[in-house]
Amino acid sequence: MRPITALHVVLALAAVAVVGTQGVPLLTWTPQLIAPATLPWLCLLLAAAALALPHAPEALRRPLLVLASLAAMLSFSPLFAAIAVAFVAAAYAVIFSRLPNAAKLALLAAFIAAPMFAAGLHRADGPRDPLWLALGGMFVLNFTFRLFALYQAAKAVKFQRQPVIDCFLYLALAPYFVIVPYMLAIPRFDRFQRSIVRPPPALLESGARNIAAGVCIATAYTIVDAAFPVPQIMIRGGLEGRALEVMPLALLDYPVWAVFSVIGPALVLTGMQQILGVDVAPPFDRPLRSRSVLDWWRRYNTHFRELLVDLFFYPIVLRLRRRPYLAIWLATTAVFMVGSTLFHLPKFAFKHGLRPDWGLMAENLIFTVLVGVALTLERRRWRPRWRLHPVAAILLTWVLVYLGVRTGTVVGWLLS
Amino acid sequence: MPDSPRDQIHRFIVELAGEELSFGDDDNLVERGLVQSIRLLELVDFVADRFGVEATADDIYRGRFASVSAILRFIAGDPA
Repeated sequence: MRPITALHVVLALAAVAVVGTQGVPLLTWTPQLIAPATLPWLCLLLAAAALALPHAPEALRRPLLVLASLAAMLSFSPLFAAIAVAFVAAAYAVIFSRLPNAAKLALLAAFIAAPMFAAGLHRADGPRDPLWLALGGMFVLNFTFRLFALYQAAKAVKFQRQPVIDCFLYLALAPYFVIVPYMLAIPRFDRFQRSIVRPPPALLESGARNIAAGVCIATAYTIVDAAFPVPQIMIRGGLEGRALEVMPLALLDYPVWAVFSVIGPALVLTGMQQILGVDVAPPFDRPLRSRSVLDWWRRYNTHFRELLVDLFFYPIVLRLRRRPYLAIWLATTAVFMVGSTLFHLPKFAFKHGLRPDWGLMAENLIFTVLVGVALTLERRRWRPRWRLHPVAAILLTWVLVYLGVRTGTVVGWLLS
Repeated sequence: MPDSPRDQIHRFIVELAGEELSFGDDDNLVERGLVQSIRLLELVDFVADRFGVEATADDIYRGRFASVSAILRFIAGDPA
C-alpha cells in the first residue's frame, strides 16, 4: 500500500469540516449531529487513523479500527457509545440466532424503528438534545442500511457465524457513524471484510480523489445554491404569477439540484472510508445521464437500490416465477414501500411528529407505477419502433423524475 | 449435435439483449450492463428450466449468475 501523504490528511480534515459544516445544504435535510466542539476531535482521530493504519501489521488493523471507532463514540458521548455497543451486540445476537428469517427481519426493523420513534417523540415534546439527535440519525440513516446489508450477507452464507469484530466495524466504523449524509456509501459485507485487512492498493488514491472531488462539488454547490436557489425561484415565480416564465427551470430543479446536493458529501464519505481501507464505490453512477426512469433508479443511490433488490425484488420475483407480471408489481411495490415509504416514515416523525407523510406516499406511488410499467414492458421485450435522440431521452427522464417528486410534494401540501 | 450449455447461455443472453453482443465467458454480465434486473431474472429462469437446477436470490447475490463461467460452474454443482 502506498503511504498516506500529508495531502491525504489535509483532504480528510477538510472533508470532515465540509461534511460537518452547516453550510452544506445536505445537512439541512437531516439532523445536524456533530456538535461543533466534537468536530476537531473527530478530525484529529480520522487523521491519526489514516496515518497509522498503512503502517500497522495486518493483525492489528482491525483492533486499531475498533479503538478509533470507540474513541470517536466516546468523544461524542459515553452514553451514546454504550447504547451503540449494546445495539451492535443485540443485532449480532439476532442475525446469527436460530430464529426464523421473518422473525429476524421483524426484530431488526423494530431495533431501528423504536429508537427513531423515541427520538421523534422526544423531538416533538422538547428541545433538540444532541444525544437524541445523534441516536435518531444514527439509527435511521446508518443502521437501517447496514443492518439489513449484514443480514443479507449472513443469509447468503446460511448464517455461518462471522467474527463479531467484523460486524462491529461494519456497523459502527468511525467516522461515519456520527456523520450522516443522506446517501450513504455502503460496502458489501464480504468485500468490507477482505478490504479492512488487506486494502486494494489503489484504494488510497481513489479515496483522496473522491474526497477532493466531493469537497469541490459540495463547496461549488453551496456557493451556486446561495446565489441562484432554483427551487425557491420557482416557488416565488409561481406565487407571483410567472409560472410559465420559470417553468424551464423545472429541468434544473429536482434532478440536477438533488444530485449535486448529495453527490459532494457522498463522495467525501466514500473517500473517507476508502482512506481507512474500506473497499466501497461511490453510491452514484452518473445519474444525470439516465435515459429512462428505470435507468435513473439503477444509477441513483446505487448501494441502497442494490440492497433492496437483493432483499425484496429478487426473492419475490423468483418465488412467483410462474406469474411474472404479478411478481414484478408485487416486488416493485415492496421495494418502494420498504425503501422509501417505511424508511422515511421515522425520519418524518422525527421532524414533524407522528403523522402520515402523504406527499412521500404519493411520490412513491407514482414511482412504483412508472418503474412497474417500465419493468413490465422490459419483461414483454417491448422495443419501440422509434428511438429518441439521447439528449431528448435524458431531458424526458429529468422531466419524469421532476414530475414524480413534485407531484408528491404538492399532494403532501394539499393533504397536510 | 446439440449446442453445449455454454453456447445455449451465450445465445440466450444475445436474444435477451436483442442485438449482437461481444462478451467473453468471464465478463461480468451485470457490471457490463448486458443483463440487469428483469433480464437477469429471465436468465435465471432459463438456466433453471433448461438445466434443471434450483436457483434462489442468494445465488444471484453470491455472483453465481455474474458471468457465463460462473453459471457453468453453478450448473456443474460447483459450490464456489
